[in-house]
Amino acid sequence: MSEKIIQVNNLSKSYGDHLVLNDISFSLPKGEVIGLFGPNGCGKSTLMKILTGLIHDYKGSVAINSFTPGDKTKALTAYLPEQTFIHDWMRNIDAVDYFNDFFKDFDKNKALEMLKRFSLPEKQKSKTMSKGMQEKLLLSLTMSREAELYILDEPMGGVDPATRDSILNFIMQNYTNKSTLLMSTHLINDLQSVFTHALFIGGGKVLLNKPVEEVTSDGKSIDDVFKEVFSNVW
Amino acid sequence: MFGKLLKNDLKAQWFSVSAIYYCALIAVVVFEIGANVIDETKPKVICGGLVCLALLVASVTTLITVALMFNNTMFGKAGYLTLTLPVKTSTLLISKTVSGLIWIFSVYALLIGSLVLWLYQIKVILGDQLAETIDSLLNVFGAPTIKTITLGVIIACILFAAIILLLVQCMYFSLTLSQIKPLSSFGKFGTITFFFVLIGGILSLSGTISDALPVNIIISETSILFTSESVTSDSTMNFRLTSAVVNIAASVALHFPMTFLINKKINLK
Repeated sequence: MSEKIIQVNNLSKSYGDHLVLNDISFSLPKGEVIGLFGPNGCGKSTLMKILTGLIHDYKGSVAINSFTPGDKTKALTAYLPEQTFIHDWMRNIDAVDYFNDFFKDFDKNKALEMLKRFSLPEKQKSKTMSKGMQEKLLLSLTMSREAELYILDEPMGGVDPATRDSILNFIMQNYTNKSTLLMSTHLINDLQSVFTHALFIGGGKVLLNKPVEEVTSDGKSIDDVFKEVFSNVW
Repeated sequence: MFGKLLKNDLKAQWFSVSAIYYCALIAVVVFEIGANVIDETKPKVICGGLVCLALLVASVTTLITVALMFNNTMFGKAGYLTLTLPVKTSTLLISKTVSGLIWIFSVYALLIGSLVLWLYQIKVILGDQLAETIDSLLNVFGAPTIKTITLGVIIACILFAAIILLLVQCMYFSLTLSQIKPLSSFGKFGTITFFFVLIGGILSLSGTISDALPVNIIISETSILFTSESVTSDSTMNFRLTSAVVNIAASVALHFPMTFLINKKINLK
């Protein structure tokens, strides 16, 4: 049996009366590219925030490499949230230096190369850049870490299709097989070739947690299976 | 790790407070030039006073800016970076407090410096003879001498630092508390109310404890005395040490519930 990097047991989380995650349990294998799929508002971002230690008031238990989210898991997890998180005062080079200061697994030279590749001027203030450029900067920073676990929340949500391809190539080139990549996306068609494992959540439950090989064994694509699964839920 | 945090927090806060410093600097330069160009006594004194006023405004604005910076970097969008750093929350908070204090003390040091310069300016205008006459008059009426007052101002500044520490901790605690439901629904009004209730409560507590366990610093021309007795002489200056100690203890104590709330209760939006 393959080693597990994420273990979730009886996890529940609600916002007021709205139960987003309802007593879910699952585990995810190490060294895979895992697609986290589900409709809007199904709890994908919430699950990612719980894993990265940004949400605390949940029931159940969560572990990354057997550790509860905290300082230890933050050191081995590279997280890319949906929104820009760079401080207003930072120029691109300041953001690189900031990551270099705090993350032991950060490769500064790689990050500087990526800035060049994406034509991001080192001395430009991040807040003056377009959304697409900001996403490239955040990806450059996140993927310049040699983390054990990458958690990417909609990494291509706000970019045009041409840039999307280049970002996807970029992610796959910079991801090592020793790492695990958990990525949420609505762009199943565009990205399905890269995933090796699929996790579907919806209606507060885990609806599917299987290797892509098994999901697509009868000739269906992940997108087809997604439509099938979620047509039964909603 | 603390050093790196502090370095980055100072950089981040410089981004926010630099505008205040530049404005204060421009005001100081304009008023000082004004004071030197004008040959008459009265406008010179007014210009010196305006410098102090400009720095007073700068110091209050710095205090507010430090609070806003804390809120943005902990609970705003930048919180996604701050709170995913592999650093203990306690270390994060200490760094934010120390960096905030460094900026606030810097601006207060400038303010006090400008006050001293202003007083010196007045002394020069009045002439040494008049200053000596004032000193003699103070002696005759049994009031503290200029030397005692100078020493008193230094002690007051040190004790004032304890109040600043408390102020910063109360601001941070109120901002943290206002992230938690249902308190978050009160918004900015709630944060400001928590702050005034908290600081008012702690200051009245320190006053009560100070009355019950008085330790005073008595400054006279010749000595500095620590005593539990209350001295009523007109030629000395009295300061309550107990309340400063309680204020520092309360500031340290606030750190723990704040760490707990961030670790266990607060969800980043």
